[in-house]
Amino acid sequence: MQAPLGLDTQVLNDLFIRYDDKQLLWLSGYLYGLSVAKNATGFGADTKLAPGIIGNGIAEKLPPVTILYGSQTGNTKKAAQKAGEQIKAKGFDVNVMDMAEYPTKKLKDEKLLFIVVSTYGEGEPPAAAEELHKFITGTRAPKLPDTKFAVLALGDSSYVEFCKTGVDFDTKLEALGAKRLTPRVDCDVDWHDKADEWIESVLNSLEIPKSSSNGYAITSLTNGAVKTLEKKVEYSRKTPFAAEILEKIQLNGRGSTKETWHLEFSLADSGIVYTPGDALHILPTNSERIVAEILKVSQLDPKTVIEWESGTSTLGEVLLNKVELSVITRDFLKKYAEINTGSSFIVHRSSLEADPKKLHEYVYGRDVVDVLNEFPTDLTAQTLLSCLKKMPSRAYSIASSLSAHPDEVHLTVGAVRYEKYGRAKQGVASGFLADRKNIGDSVNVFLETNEFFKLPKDNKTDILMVGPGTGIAPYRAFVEERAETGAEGKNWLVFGNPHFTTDFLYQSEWQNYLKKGVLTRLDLAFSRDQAEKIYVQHRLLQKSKQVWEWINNGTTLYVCGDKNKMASDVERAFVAIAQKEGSLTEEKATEFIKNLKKTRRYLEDVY
Amino acid sequence: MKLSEVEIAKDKSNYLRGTIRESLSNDVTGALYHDDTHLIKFHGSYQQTDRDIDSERKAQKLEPLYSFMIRVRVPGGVATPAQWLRMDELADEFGNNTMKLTTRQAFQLHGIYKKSLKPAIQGFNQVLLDSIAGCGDVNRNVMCNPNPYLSPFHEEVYQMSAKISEHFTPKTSAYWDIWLNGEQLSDKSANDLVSSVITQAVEHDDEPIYTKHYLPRKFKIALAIPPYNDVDIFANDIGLVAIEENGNLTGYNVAIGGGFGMTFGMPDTFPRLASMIGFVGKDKVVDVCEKVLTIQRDWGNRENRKFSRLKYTIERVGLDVFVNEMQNRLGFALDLPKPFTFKSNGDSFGWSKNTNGNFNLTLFIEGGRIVDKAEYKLKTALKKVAELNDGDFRLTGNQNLMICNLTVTSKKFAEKILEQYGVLQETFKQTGLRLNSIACVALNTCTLAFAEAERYLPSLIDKIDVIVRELKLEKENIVIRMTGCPNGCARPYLGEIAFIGRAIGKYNMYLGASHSGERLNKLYKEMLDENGMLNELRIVLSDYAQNKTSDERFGDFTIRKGYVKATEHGRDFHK
Ligand code: SRM
Ligand SMILES: Cc1cc2nc3c(=O)[nH]c(=O)nc-3n(C[C@H](O)[C@H](O)[C@H](O)COP(=O)(O)OP(=O)(O)OC[C@H]3O[C@@H](n4cnc5c(N)ncnc54)[C@H](O)[C@@H]3O)c2cc1C
Ligand SMILES: Cc1cc2nc3c(=O)[nH]c(=O)nc-3n(C[C@H](O)[C@H](O)[C@H](O)COP(=O)(O)O)c2cc1C
Ligand code: SF4
Repeated sequence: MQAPLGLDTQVLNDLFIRYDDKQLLWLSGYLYGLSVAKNATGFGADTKLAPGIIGNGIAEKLPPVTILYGSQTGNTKKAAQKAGEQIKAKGFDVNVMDMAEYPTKKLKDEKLLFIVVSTYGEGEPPAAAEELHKFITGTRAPKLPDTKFAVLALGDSSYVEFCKTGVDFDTKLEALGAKRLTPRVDCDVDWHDKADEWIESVLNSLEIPKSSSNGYAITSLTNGAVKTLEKKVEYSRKTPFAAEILEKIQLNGRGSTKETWHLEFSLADSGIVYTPGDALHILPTNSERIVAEILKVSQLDPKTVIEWESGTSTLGEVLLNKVELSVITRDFLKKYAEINTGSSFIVHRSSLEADPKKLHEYVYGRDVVDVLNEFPTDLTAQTLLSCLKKMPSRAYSIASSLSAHPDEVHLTVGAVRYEKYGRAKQGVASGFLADRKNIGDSVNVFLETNEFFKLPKDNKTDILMVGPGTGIAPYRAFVEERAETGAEGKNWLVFGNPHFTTDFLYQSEWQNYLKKGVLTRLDLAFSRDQAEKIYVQHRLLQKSKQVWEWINNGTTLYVCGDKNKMASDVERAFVAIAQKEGSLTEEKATEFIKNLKKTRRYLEDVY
Repeated sequence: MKLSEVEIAKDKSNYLRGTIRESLSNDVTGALYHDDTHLIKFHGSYQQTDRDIDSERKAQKLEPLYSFMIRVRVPGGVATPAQWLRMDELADEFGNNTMKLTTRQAFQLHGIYKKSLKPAIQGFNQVLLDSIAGCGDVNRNVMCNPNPYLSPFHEEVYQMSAKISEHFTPKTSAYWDIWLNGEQLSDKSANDLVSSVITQAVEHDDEPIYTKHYLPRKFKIALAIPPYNDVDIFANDIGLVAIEENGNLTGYNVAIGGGFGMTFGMPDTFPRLASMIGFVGKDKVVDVCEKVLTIQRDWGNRENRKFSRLKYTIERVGLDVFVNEMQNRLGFALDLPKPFTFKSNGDSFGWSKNTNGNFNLTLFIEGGRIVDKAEYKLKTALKKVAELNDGDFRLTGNQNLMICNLTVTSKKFAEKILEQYGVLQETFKQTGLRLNSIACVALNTCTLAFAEAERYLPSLIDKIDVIVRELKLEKENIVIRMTGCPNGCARPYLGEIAFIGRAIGKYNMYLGASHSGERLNKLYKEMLDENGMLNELRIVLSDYAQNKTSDERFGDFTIRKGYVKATEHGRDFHK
């Protein structure tokens, strides 16, 4: 087609070759916008163009090439590096990367993607490739219409599943819509020659035609899509969002005394927008077991029809889904006293009422079944329900950054299980998530923002995060966020749990952040790995000089996790540090720390 | 020339120190920095993971469960009861509650976490055991027939093995610096804890024999007294055969260039038996060893570790050229080798009596693993025997255990204990095939394993035993060996029957080695699963039961009947 107005067809040709459909479309809108602007304001020759898009820059601007290798013993790494060098020699901008370190969410932006991967086990990906392999073969794999790719597979033909992982990548990438530049090559134990052949054909496929006979017609001009601002949607206990569980992982290794679950929920289409420091609420339902226990001790029939929230329901249904059974409160005792008017309960209750400490001890570890067992009385469905409270939601600190995991929210949930007063019990929400909900199930949730427990506004500010146990959750979100935004401030994490080998939550992620320098320091307190117990506050005291330096440099301090003991122990440690390193009296030091809290440089998220 | 990664690590290491100290104090990981994982081998330890749960932990966002194996040298395999007791204790305190008796007469502890390495090493240092050069590119534990009653000059040969071991122990003080806070036990022969003198280690930072880069690869020496080849001397870089003339030990026949590692799919890698190159008088034997070792130091391949063992150096330059160089460096020539005969490479079990009237007992230890199981408390039983504090504990090259030199009284006590725990019965009830079995460690600790070995062979033999008993071959001593990969740690290439792991549940089957450890076997069938192995064995064993000549060994039979061709030389192993 004839180019209008004497345009340089060579330039247009280059545009066509270098950019994919989407980019061209964007460019057309961009140029259109420019022309409009030029007409309107009379912009002259000095109008700024995006660098490297138009003009002289264009000849050098080749699409970036990503070469990912998945290697166990280094063969594929070598092949990938060799390919990388040769492609680079062609003038491409090449990034050769270990799959283990590749952020999977970048995949959808790849234009030229080369996969070099070996196979292990019986047709399994090498450890380094596991995550990416899982990602692209899984349900969350993005469509890749703009990606061109080629695969080099290394293996050993004596295995039944020869080069299986390479095959997986090759077929799956194609299925996702990516275009294969050159056929996959499967290499046996002697891989060098075939790898060279593959590199050769990759290079050929990348050859840029010097000139092309048919020009490109710009047939329509489109405006760049207008990004609609997402409207924040309000979900609540009454109108929760049903979030699908995408992933559920027990974080504690075998033999641990702890049970901590990492849960990933989909927020797709919810419009929920959170920032690190916020909490997600879960609306649980009770276990069949506790409902059965209640029915047994009250000798009531679950099929009993009752009135419930301006409608009817059955007792069984309400006990299972609507009311709290695992926790008792003062209010419960009060209401129960209206029904159980026997003297023994009345006397007992008034003694608790008289002594808050005793009351606290009494309710801790007791549930509704315990009270009904201990102080039985005649109950009807209605009287029983009149004492119970509607199921409250439970909050969990969000453990993810939305920019690192678009459309997802992650939680770190400690399973509450204990045995007391002759029965094995579990917390309702944590038990619900740990035992009764699985990948694919939906859970009712809503967001609770936390205005203060937030990263510093200034991303140059250093942060010191203290979070033993599940207290680590928000810091995963913080560090992910800071990695995403490239925040310059230093990040120091102090974590603790019983044992190094089994309870180092998110260990491999922290190691990665340390390696990349995102995490500046990581101090660990594994309390039961030695004779004497070591907790986070001890680590802080050991590093008092550095802590003090950080504080003086304007660091924001964060404490998250156990409210009852840890938070106050840690606060005392900070006071002691101020005393020791700042030569302050105890009184002054206490005031100093109080002041940090007041000025929101010492933030807590404790429960 | 592009040096291998390990060579570069050695070069940077300042005589094997590297950054091991920093590695140990990094509490974010249970692993060492990468280069230190090479260096720590010279200190006798390997970094491993619990492979059973590698992928499980990865999904849990935990690093692999890193732990360390420590290989404690016992030259000639001889340990005191006190040493045994200490190892037993350390296994419980820091390890995985087991001890492994290795195919080179050493102890291994497994499952030691990084922070326990130092206390564990200090623990056995107190009983004068060390792990220096347990692994790494140096001379390894020197092997010697463990059985003192076999020969009147056993003691002399054993002393020679200790001398060679001492001669080639690295001199760097890195080991003492890092693990023992610079303290070296000065009297290595003292067995009494109380009287042993602790002195400050001399700052030794040169290596007169090895020099700065040590050897290109591991190096192994073994000594045997004919007719017993229970240490498989031909699998070693140097094999020495004690030669007796007129009731005296005159010297040793020298064989060089044995070694077993190979890689599937690479036919230019192969197991090779040591070549006999001559005889040397006993006063010159250390010198001969040193020359062979230092030529290998100078000539060995430092670029590709797959080809850096002495066997490949010899294959590359030619045996003649190598021997010539050795004789030049020695300044004399070796005599022609003297005649000798090897009968077997297995152990003989049960009680035997020494010339001094004391007693020895050889016990069968399946897979060399000393462990208490619910139904069989082997570890406790042996601990109780050690507590008698008499005689000594000798590790055999077949992963078995001898308790030697017990007085008549101790013998009675030991017998009672061992009977009570069923240990004696465990040895006496076995078929000849099981008694002649060895298996390497393999899964779950060995990083290189493709398949199970130690954990699997016992149950496979349960099934083979059924066939063997059916065929009335239960008394036949048939050597059967299994490894989880072709590196050959259980010397499978000298098994009359060998299974070498290819993948989980899949093994290559080899036949045709001689019963005396003097002929390699050959590949018979590939990639067999359990049924495949049992079916193939049933065919060959039935034939053997019906058609063997009177004294014919199973390995020789399979050659005569053409199941496989005899392997005359390592080079022909794949042919
Ligand atoms: C414990 C032991 C097997 C056993 O079950 O008893 C053993 C265990 C290992 N051997 Fe071995 N080898 C053991 C005797 C042998 C033998 C037999 C012998 O020496 O008589 C051989 C064959 C002879 C030889 O050296 O050629 C042997 C040839 C190898 C090789 C192959 C060497 C080669 O030249 O290719 C490797 C792999 C390597 O070095 O790269 C290896 C490597 C290993 C390692 C350290 C794996 C590794 O490198 O990561 C294994 C540790 C497993 C574990 O979890 O404990 N091991 N290894 C033996 C310890 C002996 C000792 O006390 O020093
Ligand atoms: C802002 C905020 C953030 C939070 N973030 C997290 C988080 O990130 N991760 C997390 O796991 N939790 C977090 N929590 C706590 C969480 O909300 C729940 O309280 C917790 O999971 C327990 O809820 P449950 O429904 O499982 O147990 P419940 O059914 O509420 O039972 C709890 C009750 O069980 C009893 N009990 C528990 N343990 C014992 C014991 N050992 N002995 C005797 N009695 C016992 C006590 O009576 C206790 O009150 C957070 C809380 C808040 C407020
Ligand atoms: C334990 C083990 C299992 C293997 N399984 C397979 C397999 O199932 N299929 C295959 O094609 N190759 C298999 N291989 C061979 C490797 O893929 C091959 O050695 C490759 O060159 C290794 O490349 P890398 O060093 O980059 O990891 C296996 C290798 C090992 C050690
Ligand atoms: S033979 Fe292979 S699997 Fe067995 S211990 Fe040696 S290296 Fe490991």
